[in-house]
Amino acid sequence: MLPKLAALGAFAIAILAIVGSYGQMSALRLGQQSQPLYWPHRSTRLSGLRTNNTWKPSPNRSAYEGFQGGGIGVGK
Amino acid sequence: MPSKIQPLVTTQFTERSPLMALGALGLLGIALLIAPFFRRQLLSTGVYVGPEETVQLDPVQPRKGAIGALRIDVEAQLPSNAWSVFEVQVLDSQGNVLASAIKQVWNESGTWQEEGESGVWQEQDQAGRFDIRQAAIDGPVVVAISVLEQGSSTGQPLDSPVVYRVTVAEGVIDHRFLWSGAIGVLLVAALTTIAVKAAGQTVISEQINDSDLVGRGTLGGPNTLLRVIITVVSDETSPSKLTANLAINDSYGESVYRREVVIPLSIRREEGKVESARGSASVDLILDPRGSYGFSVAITPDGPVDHTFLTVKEGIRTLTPTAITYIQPSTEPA
Repeated sequence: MLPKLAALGAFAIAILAIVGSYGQMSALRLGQQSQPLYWPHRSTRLSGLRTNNTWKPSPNRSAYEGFQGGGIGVGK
Repeated sequence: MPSKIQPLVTTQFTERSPLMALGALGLLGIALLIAPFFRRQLLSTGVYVGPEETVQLDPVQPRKGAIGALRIDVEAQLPSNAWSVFEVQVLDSQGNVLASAIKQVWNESGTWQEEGESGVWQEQDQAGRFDIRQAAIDGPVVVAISVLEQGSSTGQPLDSPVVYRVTVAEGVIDHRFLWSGAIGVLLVAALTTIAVKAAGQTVISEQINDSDLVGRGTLGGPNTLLRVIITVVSDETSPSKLTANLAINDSYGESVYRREVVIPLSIRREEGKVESARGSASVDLILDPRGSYGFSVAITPDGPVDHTFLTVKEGIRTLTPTAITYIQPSTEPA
């Protein structure tokens, strides 16, 4: 019985994964105030928030200050 | 021998759940294979953008639909030892910003020397990606690249514009979900396999520092698969295989089944010399009806045998259809 439930579970995982990928569950949702599911690709993070129906650049937009490139020299 | 003995291959005890779980993996594979058919490239171009400058690209009109996302891929082509912070902006036809995302890119190279050897190294992270769910996009959108700041790794300012290669496509599927799903499905399939292999209760477990042993227990029944597992540990004079003479008796001590089982040995060597050998063999059978049965095992040749183990489990499940022996002792008194 338990292995059969596990097999059903495997199908449930597969269907959730397909819904997530084809429905782009973690892409940016236009027109929504909060983006709890946003999952950045290649560390491309959001730089704003939607408030009062307009996109407001995020206050931490200048958080890149101090960025001097990555690579081997970082952290020295 | 008055018992009815019938060898047969049956699927009665086969547990197909692990195979079914792997079927879910096939579903994910199909989803991965057909994903490219939903993708359509809308724009592919290269633009020069200087520091604190914003360049708008041609408007694109993604189709309406719930499937996929508008994917904006931006790859900077920085000179060596330079970095840049750019923003990908998505604007509506009136020029209002709908969304934006930031990426920090860099490209560095140099030389290395170690123990008289030397060479050049080059490392980079120059690609950004921004996905926007297609379902909520209505009307044409304009993609703009805005460079917020750029410089060279040595701290010098970098004033010359940098090329950004931009690709915009619609109907793009997020593969990360499929890969995570595949890992999840494989884990479940592995757990199911382990559960099937571990199924069954040990009824008899005997061991002796000799070659002959017996065990008795109440077991069997028409719908219960039994597995008799014989394990032998033998010394350095072991041949490549041993033979176990398995005999099963009913509650009166009458023999109901006899069989010779070949046990192949795997030899353990130490510094080229045979140290010891170990081997195991199992027999799957049904004993109908349920009752008290005695199992006796005698290993031949018995000279090299140090230890013999006898385990009988009932309620076994198998992954594939298995060859078993159906044994029905005669009900007539012998």
